[in-house]
Amino acid sequence: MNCISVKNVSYKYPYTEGFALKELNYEFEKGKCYGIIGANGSGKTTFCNLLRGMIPHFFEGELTGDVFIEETDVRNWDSNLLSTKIGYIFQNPFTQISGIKETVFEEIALGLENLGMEKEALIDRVIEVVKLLKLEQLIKKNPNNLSGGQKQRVAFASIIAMNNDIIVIDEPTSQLDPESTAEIFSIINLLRNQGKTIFLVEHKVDLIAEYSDEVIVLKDGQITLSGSTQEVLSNMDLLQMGVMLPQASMLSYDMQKANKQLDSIAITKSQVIEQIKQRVGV
Amino acid sequence: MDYEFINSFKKPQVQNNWFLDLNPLSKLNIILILAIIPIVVKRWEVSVVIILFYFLIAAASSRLKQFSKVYVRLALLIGSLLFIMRAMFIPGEDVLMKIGFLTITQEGVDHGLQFATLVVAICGALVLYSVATQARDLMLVLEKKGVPHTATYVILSSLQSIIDLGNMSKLIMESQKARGIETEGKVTNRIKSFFPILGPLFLGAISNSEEKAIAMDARAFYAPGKNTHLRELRPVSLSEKSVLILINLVFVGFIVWRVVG
Amino acid sequence: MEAIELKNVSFAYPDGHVANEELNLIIQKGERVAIVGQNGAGKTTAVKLMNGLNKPTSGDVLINGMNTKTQTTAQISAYVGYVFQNPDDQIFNSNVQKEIEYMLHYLKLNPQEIKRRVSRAVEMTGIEGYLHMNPFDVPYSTRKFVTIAMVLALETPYIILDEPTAGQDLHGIKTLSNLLDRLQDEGKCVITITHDMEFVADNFTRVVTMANKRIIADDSARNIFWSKEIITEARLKKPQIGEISEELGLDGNIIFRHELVELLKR
Ligand SMILES: Nc1ncnc2c1ncn2[C@@H]1O[C@H](COP(=O)(O)OP(=O)(O)OP(=O)(O)O)[C@@H](O)[C@H]1O
Ligand SMILES: Nc1ncnc2c1ncn2[C@@H]1O[C@H](COP(=O)(O)OP(=O)(O)O)[C@@H](O)[C@H]1O
Ligand SMILES: [Mg+2]
Ligand SMILES: [Mg+2]
Repeated sequence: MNCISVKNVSYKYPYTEGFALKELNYEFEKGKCYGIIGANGSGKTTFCNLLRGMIPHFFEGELTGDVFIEETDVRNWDSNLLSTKIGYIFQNPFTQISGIKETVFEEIALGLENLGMEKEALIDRVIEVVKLLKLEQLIKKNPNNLSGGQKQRVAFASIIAMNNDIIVIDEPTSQLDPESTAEIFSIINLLRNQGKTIFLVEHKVDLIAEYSDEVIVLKDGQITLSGSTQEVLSNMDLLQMGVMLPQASMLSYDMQKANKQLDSIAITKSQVIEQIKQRVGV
Repeated sequence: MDYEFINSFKKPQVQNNWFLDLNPLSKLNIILILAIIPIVVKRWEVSVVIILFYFLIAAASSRLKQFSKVYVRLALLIGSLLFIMRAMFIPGEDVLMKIGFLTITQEGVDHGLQFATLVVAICGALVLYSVATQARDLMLVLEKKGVPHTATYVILSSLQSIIDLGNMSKLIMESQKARGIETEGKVTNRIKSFFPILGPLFLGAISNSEEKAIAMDARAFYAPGKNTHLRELRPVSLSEKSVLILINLVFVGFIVWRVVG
Repeated sequence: MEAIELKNVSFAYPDGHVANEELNLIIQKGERVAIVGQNGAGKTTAVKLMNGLNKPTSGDVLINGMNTKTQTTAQISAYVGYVFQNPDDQIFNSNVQKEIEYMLHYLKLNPQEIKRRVSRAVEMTGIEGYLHMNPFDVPYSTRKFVTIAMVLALETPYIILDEPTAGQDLHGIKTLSNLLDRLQDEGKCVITITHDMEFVADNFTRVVTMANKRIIADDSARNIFWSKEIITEARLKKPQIGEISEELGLDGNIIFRHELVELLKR
């Protein structure tokens, strides 16, 4: 079943000149993880706003074409219901803290309170999420007094706690150390394995290569490349779109140039290691 | 993980202090009475007694430091200002002294004293309530009484935005310091550096509130259906109720006696 | 001595949380240094000690020999420019150009000098197209360059960049890399906090590593990335090429792709 379908969509923010999204078409299936990549300003965040129904419910401006969320036209969705359907983790980690809760524990509980979860279950759920994100040491801290990376993890936890079927995640690891980044990605993978549909904007293509089913590349508001992760992330044209290729792909190409061509262009670390072993026999 | 902290949410939130742990509405009730008495009695001696009484309550609820910090300054400022204004401009028979074109009379001084202590006493009630009650507790009670949570949020976040403005001005000051603008030390430095930030401060506050609305929406804040609460307050005990009723009865009796008598 | 020196420095926040313990560090004028380490390790806290926003709870911080305890932050900032981790905390003017010029007018520089400084800063950060926009309407990752330009215009001998790589795309990373090279040529000292390991390998030889409130290593990128203990304690990772080399069991502490290809060619 299609989870979200985007048909011929263009969008222009109010009081601006050009279109931020141009004639997009895509069918998103339930239970998959979609990587969305592109240079800054290419429209990734705007695309997230569209998928989450913030466009047209919060952002006015000019929207043409159609978006269907679970077969219902986004215009006909009750915007208050959308927040219970689709989770949205924003790009800027510093503006997601509610500001009205005094501890990290209560901050994570906020969404569940709003969903009306009974207290016992609510506390259990918050504990579960705190453990999942390894926030044990921070639960008593005031959310405003966290380091940048800690804020980003709390923001992530606060949305994940709500257990939505669809989750839109805009650059979740920009402030994170490499180990925490890896942890966030494995949680995203876990969520996908639970059957959730995930939209993930991320600059770290090495990790997109590991975890997404399909990749969409945006440039100047248009989809310039899309399809299976393997296909997209092994395509040298990415560089023209302002996006880096995964290290594994670059290595594969470099081996080609050095007359040690691998079987195919690998995009993940494990693939490239496997192929090098075969080719070079180290 | 600190399970003691987590389990504290399973029980009502208490601070183990008889006054602080009163229901926010009971506290409001008592403090309102304290504020109304000087209005009805109109004698500066009574106002002073009430003011002293605030300090007693603040001390008894171990909030003396916070209370004094705000209140003493406020009282001195407002009190002296009102007193001087009244003392100088209220005409009367009993002339105490003449300074240039100003004539200070006994009536003016009396009136000034009465009015100044009255206003200071009323301000005291507000300050005391704000240091003895957490805004979020008051909102919690109001929600329990059926006030919609979007409404309580507006109140809470307006209160919060006062704090935010404070935080933001601190941030902007830091940003200025880090560029080389003196914001420390001399009062003139502080004033000079403060004015240019007022504009951005309010602009920032506006754009903040928009971002906050989006952030709250992401947390299903406007979701249909009833919300629950992680924190809960102690139910109002029978003794608290009866004491409160008693106080209110005495107060009503007092008012009737004043008005009739 | 022309250097930033930390001597036995500890720092606790007003809520009692100790964020830095016993830091000892000397960074010389003209050096280029990266600071890496786990989230919450105390990196931001440490660099705020270097520009006087934080004053040590114990120990001393010296900037060119001056103790920060005896100076106001404003005085120190004539020497140390600091780009905040969150650009929003640093911006308070209604347009980008004003933001960059604000301090230059305050210093009463002459119009030519202001023009020179602004155009240098704008050119180095590539924000020509945004000068007349409200900084808050500038896309988030570009907003960081606005604050970088603002600090560059101060032309301080020491510059601290707190996570400039966060959220940057290929182009942004290149701009940063060029910026570092230019500042080094000009003899400026640049201290950069970052979580981007490839960026560290490509751009830095000296890497200070922090974990659990302390400095746990101060070494070349190669040595840091090839030390298991440091990597684990500071929650770092090798650049992916390093990981691949490790899993292939190759010698030579490889961190760059060309090194790996060179070795495999043989
Ligand atoms: N204002 C504050 N009040 C209290 N504690 C704070 C405050 N700011 C930071 N901390 C705490 O101090 C520690 C160090 O924070 P700091 O911001 O220096 O970390 P960091 O190394 O810069 O992390 P990140 O990589 O996430 O930015 C953290 O545990 C954080 O929770
Ligand atoms: N709220 C907004 N109002 C007006 N224009 C915007 C807004 N948000 C983004 N834009 C513009 O839309 C384009 C796409 O931006 P964005 O979706 O943020 O890109 P990305 O997330 O890929 O960096 C940019 O040209 C940007 O300036
Ligand atoms: Mg974006
Ligand atoms: Mg930091």
